Amino acid sequence: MKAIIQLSVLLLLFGGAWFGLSRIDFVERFRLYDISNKTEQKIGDAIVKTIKQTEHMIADDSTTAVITKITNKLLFANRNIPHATIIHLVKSKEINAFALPGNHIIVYTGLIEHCDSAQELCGVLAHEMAHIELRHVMKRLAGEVGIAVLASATTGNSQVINGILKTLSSTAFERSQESAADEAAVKYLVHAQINPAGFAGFMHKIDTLIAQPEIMEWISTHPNSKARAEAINQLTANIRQTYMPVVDFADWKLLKRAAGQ
Amino acid sequence: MNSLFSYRPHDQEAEKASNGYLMSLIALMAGMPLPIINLIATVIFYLANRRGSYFVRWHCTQTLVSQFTLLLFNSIGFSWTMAILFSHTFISNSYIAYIITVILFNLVEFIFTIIAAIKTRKGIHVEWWFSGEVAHLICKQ
Repeated sequence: MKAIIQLSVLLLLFGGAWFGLSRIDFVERFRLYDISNKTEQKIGDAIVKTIKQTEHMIADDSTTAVITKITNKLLFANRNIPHATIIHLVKSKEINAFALPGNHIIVYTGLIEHCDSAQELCGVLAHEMAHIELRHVMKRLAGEVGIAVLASATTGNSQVINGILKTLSSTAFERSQESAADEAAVKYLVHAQINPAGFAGFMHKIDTLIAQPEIMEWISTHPNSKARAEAINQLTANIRQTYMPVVDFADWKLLKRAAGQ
Repeated sequence: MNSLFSYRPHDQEAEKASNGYLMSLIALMAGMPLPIINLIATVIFYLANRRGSYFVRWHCTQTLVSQFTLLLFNSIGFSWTMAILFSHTFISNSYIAYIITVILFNLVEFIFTIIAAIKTRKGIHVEWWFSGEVAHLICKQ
């Protein structure tokens, strides 16, 4: 009997120490899943190469110029976002946008088609930039794919690259990461004098478009859009800022036309 | 001296009992990554002394029980590490916390073993938490 009591105390001690220590975020503190920028860049470039081979990219000068103008507006106002961020436009009816390793962001033209203003598009871009800046992309990949497997993507392992692409384009981030990205996106937009109401408006809109099959990808990777739109509105309620147009009407029309063609 | 032993152990007995603890220490250092090594060494020493005096048998049993208890914790840590290295299991906070806890418990056992080896060599009876109780149940005079 005494031995059983002593064993129980021993197990409780062990369990208590284990539980107590597991409350410490070792993974974050020691940056266990941080991969060198060079490796991250290689992985991102390999994925973009695959997308370019399999998808129809929009790369004409006039459209690229408008996208660059919009992107620069966010980048120049927010020094913390990696300035090498590149936006790639993919011709697709699908409404989706996602960040890749190595500061690449993929935007489907279906998403631009559903944006009623450049502010809405900026909101989505700022959100994806926030995922990059907060290192959500690499943390998620390291956790879901594994560092060893991830490293093999740098050698052009197509199976791994396709797996990463599928993970990033069709699965959601953790809810806390989405909220953090929304919050950061609002800051980026305000710094760039872009009205965050457009971002909230887009979230509201996709909530109402849920019945359409092409919207499903974005919905599935960005759940609770309505609640998040309200959270964005709350964040911006007390901000006093003068907002400026992102691009002129002609540029926005040009982009919409390119997306809709 | 504990009342359990009504006699003062002979110098030879004290040396053998102390060697039981030392054996587990040496084996622990030799087979560090493989948790089974130190247990095997302790079992061999226990079997070799199972016909020895009560003092020697009792202390060999205490070491054995202690090693066996640690083996269970160590084996889980070992299997978890292998799963991380060779399958799709990822390093998590729980894993790191488990390994630290196991290392702490092993360290405590290591220190207690050194103390026990020194004391038993002097013929002093040392009784550990849990392992001592089980040794009483297993080892009869």
